[in-house]
Amino acid sequence: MSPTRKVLVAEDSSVIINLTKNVLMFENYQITAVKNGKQVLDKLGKEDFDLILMDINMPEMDGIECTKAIRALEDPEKSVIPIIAITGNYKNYTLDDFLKAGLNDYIQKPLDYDHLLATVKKYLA
Amino acid sequence: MKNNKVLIVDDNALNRRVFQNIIGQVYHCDVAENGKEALDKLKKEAFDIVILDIQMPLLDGIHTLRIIKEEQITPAPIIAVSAFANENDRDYFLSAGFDDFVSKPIKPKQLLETLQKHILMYKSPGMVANGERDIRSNPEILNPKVLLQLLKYNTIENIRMVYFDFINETERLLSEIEYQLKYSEYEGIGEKLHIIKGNSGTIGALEIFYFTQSFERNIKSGNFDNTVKDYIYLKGLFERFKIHCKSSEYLNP
Repeated sequence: MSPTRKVLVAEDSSVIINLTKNVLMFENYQITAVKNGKQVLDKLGKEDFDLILMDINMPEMDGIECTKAIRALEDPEKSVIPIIAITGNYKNYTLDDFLKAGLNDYIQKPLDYDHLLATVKKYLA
Repeated sequence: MKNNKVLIVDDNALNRRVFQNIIGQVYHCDVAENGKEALDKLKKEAFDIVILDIQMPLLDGIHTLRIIKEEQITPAPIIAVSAFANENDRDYFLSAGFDDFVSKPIKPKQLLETLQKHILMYKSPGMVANGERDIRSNPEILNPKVLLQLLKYNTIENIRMVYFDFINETERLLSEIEYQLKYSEYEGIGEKLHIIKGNSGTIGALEIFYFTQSFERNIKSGNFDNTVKDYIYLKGLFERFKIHCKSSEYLNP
């Protein structure tokens, strides 16, 4: 048995949070959910995670800003945590913007949960 | 729900009684005492799902399944039940051709969820086939394919919670949009529509998804001529979705 992997989900819609939690729990991942970029930084400061699923369109601090802030962290382990964007692309970011901000991958809304699970697994393998 | 028929095949009278008590509350059911009797019943009558015990005299579950498949006796899903197997044996039963597996002693909730899921999957391709294109059979209001994909990872109970969550959240967002409309805060409306768009698409409320997509596009491109009209139309679609959820047999077992 490999140790339980911890996934932080940042998403401001409770509908998506609930569905995503159920899907990830299916694979025995341990899930923590937060609602904006600031909360991501708070949580990450206190706990270790193996992966972050990050909505781009969030209040307070959006996913791009938050990813940049994580990549700039001094902690060598936390600054390189895999981050997967969840995006409906409201602000017209391009894939290039995602990569420049330091995101590893992205999943488009509406979410296809088979695809989401496969993408998460790819980074937690 | 009651119009779905379950065939229970088990050689033990007490087990049959237990199955009937659990399943009879939700579905019509009939029983057979062994594989031979099951085959006779399946040839005479159509069932929507079959629960097949593995250890039986005369004709056991594995052989009965083989005959059903070879002679194409019924396309209905077939669920294996066994006291001499645990969850680890699931792969074996699936590879043998069963649609699912439930271990004894039976857990009522798990059994009913398993049945519901497979009946739903079995029946969904024909959902529109009843001729009436009424609100219940329009796949665009609630797309069955999306629902089935979600059911792979969620129990019916979870799914119901998510849909009611979606309704609450959308209700709140729509009233915020109405407020922003009054004060012509169009930028904020786009953000709300964006959330509704992502959620509706994800849970399969495709009618709402498609419409919100074009509504959001108008807002983003600064075209506010039809904003009030679009808002009223979206509210109408949402009301329809709510009615659909209330009457959907999948969400209200």
